[in-house]
Amino acid sequence: MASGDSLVQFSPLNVESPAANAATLDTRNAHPVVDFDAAANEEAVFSGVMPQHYAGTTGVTVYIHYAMSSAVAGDIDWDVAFERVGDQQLDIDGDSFAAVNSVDNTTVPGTTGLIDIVSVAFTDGADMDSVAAGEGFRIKVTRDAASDTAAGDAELRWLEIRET
Amino acid sequence: MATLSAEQLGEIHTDVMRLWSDENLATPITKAQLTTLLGIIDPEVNTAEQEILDAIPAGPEKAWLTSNPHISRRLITMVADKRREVL
Repeated sequence: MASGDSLVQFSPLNVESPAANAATLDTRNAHPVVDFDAAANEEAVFSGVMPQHYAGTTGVTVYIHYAMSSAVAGDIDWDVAFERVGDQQLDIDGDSFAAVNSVDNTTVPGTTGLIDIVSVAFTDGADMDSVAAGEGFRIKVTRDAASDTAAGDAELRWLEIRET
Repeated sequence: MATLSAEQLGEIHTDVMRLWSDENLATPITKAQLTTLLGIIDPEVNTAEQEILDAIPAGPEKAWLTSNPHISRRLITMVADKRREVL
């Protein structure tokens, strides 16, 4: 696949809530969203299979489509991490997410409900927990509410993974 | 009467942000600015509560409210809530 081609998309209806600090499913004007609190670092997990057409050379870029519930000032920080499940690679009784990559200090849109898209790049290999084509994986998105400044919830609307 | 603790102000901070999020209320201030705001409002309310009690003429109502601050505070809160409704 060529750089920029879409590999996987997730909607809020695909969310798998972690046992603790889970972002919560909500709706906004009938749009499903995942709400991330402003006072605590909350997480949302999605799982999928990396498409066979993933080239495994340049890595992937994760695009976060979000709106703010109320904030029209301040900035927002997001952390993203991959976990390779693979073929006899991971005992799913435990978590094994790689270190996070982040997109920080993004000024939020000036209108609540306006979707902004931010991106986080991962190089192929350990940076994305060595997820390869055809392997199952999970991706965890965390709002770093302890560090960002925007007041009120952030609403995740879509998540897309593209070939970098 | 006393001002609220940092923990109590933090609880208000969290509750307010959740309320505004639920209402999709456009919020042009940051979390830090909200913290500053609450830090100003609380001691002002504390002062105002005492001034309200001081303004009540001597008599059974003043004695009752002075010895039962939870009742005076509830009255003040109810008046404040109604004032918010008529904005």
